[in-house]
Amino acid sequence: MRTGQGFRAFGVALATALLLQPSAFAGTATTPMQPNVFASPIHAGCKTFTASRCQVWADPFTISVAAGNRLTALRITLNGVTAYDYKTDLSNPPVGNYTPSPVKLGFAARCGVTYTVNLQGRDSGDATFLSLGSTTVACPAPTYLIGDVNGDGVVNVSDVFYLINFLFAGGPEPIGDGDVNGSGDVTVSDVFYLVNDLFAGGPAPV
Amino acid sequence: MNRILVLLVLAVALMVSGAPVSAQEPQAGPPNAATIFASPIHGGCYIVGPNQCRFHADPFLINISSGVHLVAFRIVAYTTLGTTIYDFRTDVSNPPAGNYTPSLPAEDYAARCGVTYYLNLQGKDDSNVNYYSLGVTGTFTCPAAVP
Repeated sequence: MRTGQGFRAFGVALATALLLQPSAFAGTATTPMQPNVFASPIHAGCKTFTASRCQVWADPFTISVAAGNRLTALRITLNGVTAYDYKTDLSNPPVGNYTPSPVKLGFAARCGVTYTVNLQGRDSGDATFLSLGSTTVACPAPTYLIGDVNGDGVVNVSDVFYLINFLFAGGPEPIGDGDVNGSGDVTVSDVFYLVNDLFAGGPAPV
Repeated sequence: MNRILVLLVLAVALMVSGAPVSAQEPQAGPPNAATIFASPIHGGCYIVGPNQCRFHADPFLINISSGVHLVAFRIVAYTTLGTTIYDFRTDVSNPPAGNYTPSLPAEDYAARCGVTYYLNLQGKDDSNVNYYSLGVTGTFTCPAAVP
């Protein structure tokens, strides 16, 4: 009798341990697979955005939430780093299938880098984010280095003069990416940023 | 000694009561919707370039009671203070009645990378003097750097 109870207790403990660790069956996903939020395929690619910058673009996806639960959050990570953090309405979170509208611009990425794109979700029954789907994308190599404004293959003082000529003397437009500081615009700040990088040990173009 | 203790307690009480509303605890300013019914807003923040982030909000439907018309809505992004990121007005002569689903702006809304926010949808119909809160998202954080 005592032995039977021991086996039963061991069985219960083993089953509980397996139930609490679904990630044991979840392959290489960084977060455990979903018990309530169902798998949602994510299809994605990486495109050139400027001569030096790339963006990851994901197709619309549908997240299916189990009956009785509500979607509270999702996120998209690139190589484990969050690129999109999304929360639903606190009072009226969606139930059932939900297809978030696609963002209007892509997710910033580095050209020449391969990314694992992972869609993660969480519903009202989950304590943590769960992996819903993932894919791998290879961003095209950059046409020009960031900072190589004149497109000659190197970043040096010629790029500073090229940028000044463009901004203040009606010179030709940058061949490479003139947005050296990553602000989204080409301004005198990019000249200062490049000078600071080249001659004062400042941060490299981003 | 007692006076110092009292002063300390008072200082702590003042610090606690004067603490700004954190983005971790969404508490939209206006009261909840009355005649304009609650309209859920779902959204977040993503990174589009170095030091460039954008808010994105899913399409939402604003439901207005019969007999009144939608006059305006706005989306407010809260950190400790609220900042309007979209201010929208309907036609003065022919404001919409019933359900209304505004289209989404072309390039989403500018946000600051690395900052934690929540979004609040506020609306006003022609029977309202002030804006009402229609929906509030949970808090989210704009990515700080390009992955």
